[in-house]
Amino acid sequence: MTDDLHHLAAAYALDALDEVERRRFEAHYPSSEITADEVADFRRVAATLAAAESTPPPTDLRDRVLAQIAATPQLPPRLDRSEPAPTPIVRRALLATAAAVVLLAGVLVIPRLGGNATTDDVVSAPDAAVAVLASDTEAGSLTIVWSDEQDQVAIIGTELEAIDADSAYALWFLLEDGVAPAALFTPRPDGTISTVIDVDDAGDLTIGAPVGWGITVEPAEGSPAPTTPVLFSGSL
Amino acid sequence: MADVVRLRSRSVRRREDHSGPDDALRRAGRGDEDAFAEVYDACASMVYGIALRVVRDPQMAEDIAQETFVEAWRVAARFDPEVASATTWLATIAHRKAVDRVRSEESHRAREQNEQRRVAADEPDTAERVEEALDRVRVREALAALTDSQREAVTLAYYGGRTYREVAHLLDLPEGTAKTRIRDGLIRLRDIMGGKS
Repeated sequence: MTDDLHHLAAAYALDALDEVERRRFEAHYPSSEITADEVADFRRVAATLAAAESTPPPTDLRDRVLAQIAATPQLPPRLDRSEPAPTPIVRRALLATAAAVVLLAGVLVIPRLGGNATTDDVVSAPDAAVAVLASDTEAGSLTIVWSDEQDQVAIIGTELEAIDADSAYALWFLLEDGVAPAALFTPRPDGTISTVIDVDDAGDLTIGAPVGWGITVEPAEGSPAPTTPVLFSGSL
Repeated sequence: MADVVRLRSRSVRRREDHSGPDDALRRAGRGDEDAFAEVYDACASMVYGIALRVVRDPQMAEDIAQETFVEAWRVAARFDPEVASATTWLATIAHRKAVDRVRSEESHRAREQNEQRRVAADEPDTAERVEEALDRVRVREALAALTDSQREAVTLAYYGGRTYREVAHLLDLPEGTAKTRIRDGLIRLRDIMGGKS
């Protein structure tokens, strides 16, 4: 597998993976096996191949681009690594992740560098149910892996839009006759997420098996029911 | 632009000063539209050029270039030159968009119809032309140093927008071999071009 992933890093940097493999790769990257540096190096080579194809665009493109950006709002900056203290939502996400790591480590996991041991473990749970969520907007990509036995979800995503510090992404269980809250999460500043969240508290689930997932943006403390349009959804 | 694109050895790259498009993109991330115009001027030919090479349709390439820059503006505040230079960042966005486009059935038809078309455009100034020509020469030399099979695999994947599975199919190779050739080819390119700067 290590060897396989290494070979995929180059293909990934060239956008030569299909959608499924791209997601699979992103779920394992960066890690101790595939470093961000390795992919960055390959991307730099790719950019050189791009530069060698330089062709001046039509003149009027410049005006159109500048007119369009003047009317396009910008996303907020990424949180700086040197920021003095994590915001409450980030801290909570960290705690949730840490709790999941501790729980898993106590039971069956030898943690590895790279922080992927936890997601790997949900993925390899015997009852793991994988759902690739679809989005109507270009809101990024999200894959949810759920283990009912372990009462955990692994949330793996990329290119997610940044949200206010007082908001969080909310994952909902879609039930036959309603929804139940499953987890709250906040992507990393670079728009990625790869985490495991304990869903033990979602006691509502005893009312029936979930049939799918939905994602909305909610206040950081969560909501009893979705308050914003569904960004992503998928069936189990 | 060539300076930014030029590959550096890892140790040198880390100490890269943030001038040129990198600095302009950072300023653009704070809402500076003039700075973004600098980014456009430095990178537009590359962004449009790679899009055109992949999709082969001038109108589609123009759309992709426009989407690329608008996307770059939108997320400019997240740009981190320690991770990737502005040029690499924009090339990554543009190539991904071009590949996504080309993999739809519809664009396959369009690119066949437009295979031969090229578009009238601005004449770049002399300095730009020289830099672009140098880029071309360096890349061509580097590509020439690959084995035929490595070059074919890298070119089909990157310029052709093919997945490695498609590359394997087109070259009648086992998938694992196609993967390996792409990887070995890229490593060789990195070593050759990195060593020259």
